[in-house]
Amino acid sequence: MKKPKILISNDDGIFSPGIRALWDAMSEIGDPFVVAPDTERSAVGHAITLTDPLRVVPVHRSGGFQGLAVSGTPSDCAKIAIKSILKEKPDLMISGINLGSNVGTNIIYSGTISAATEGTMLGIPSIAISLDTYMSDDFRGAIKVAKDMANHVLHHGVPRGTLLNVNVPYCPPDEIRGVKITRQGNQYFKDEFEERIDPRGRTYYWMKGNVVDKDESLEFDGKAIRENFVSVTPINFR
Amino acid sequence: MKGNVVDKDESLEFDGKAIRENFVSVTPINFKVTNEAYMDELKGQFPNE
Repeated sequence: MKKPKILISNDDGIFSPGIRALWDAMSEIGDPFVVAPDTERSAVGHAITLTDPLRVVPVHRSGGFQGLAVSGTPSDCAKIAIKSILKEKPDLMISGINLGSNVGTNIIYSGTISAATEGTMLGIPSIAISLDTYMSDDFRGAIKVAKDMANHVLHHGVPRGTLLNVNVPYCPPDEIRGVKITRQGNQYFKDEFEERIDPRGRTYYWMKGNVVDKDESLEFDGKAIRENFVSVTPINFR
Repeated sequence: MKGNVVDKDESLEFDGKAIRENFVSVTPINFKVTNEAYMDELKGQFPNE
């Protein structure tokens, strides 16, 4: 049987541990092809590059990982892969595995979701997948979820214009309690700007903040992952 | 990147068509993006959910 062609991208960059884990996972169920930003482009939203050229450079990592590094945003990567680089349309696009959840209001900023959104806009069944931690090399739970969700979408498909936003709790795989089909919740970052002084005496600012999530129902994405469920939210932009 | 605009909307209910017809287009938008119409079908695909 012909293996499905799976386009992989992300916003953490082609050298991130998450995209490596995703490539490993997708290699077990299909032919993965990586087109990802050459450096981290977190929180760039759905930006695309209009005023500069896009440079595309082959990348090889250990264990057979190979892909193309693009000097652009996650949306650029999806667009150039599907519109120009790939000889035929992929059967699936999957973006991640992002370090840090993408739930609530924050999905508007997410480059991870925007890559999948671009795939969706171009007619490819697409998934965004994120792990609810900012610092980890333990992707075991997320790898299993990525394979399950990829197989699910390859089998069932998704409505045109809709993608699945998948968030995985950060816990040992055997402590994941199951899957919840959720709605985008109300979680947001309460932003602050820390004022600092650079070595030349000039003031600069660095954004920081804390997550605010008051959702108490498991129907919402943020609450579901706090309770160790995998959250699956169908989203569209119509 | 380069390209051309594709806009096949022929109804004035759509923003692009409205401005092509010299109307001011005003569209209320929000950032709640859950596909509510698909929720039940998707839940049905996960019987243990």
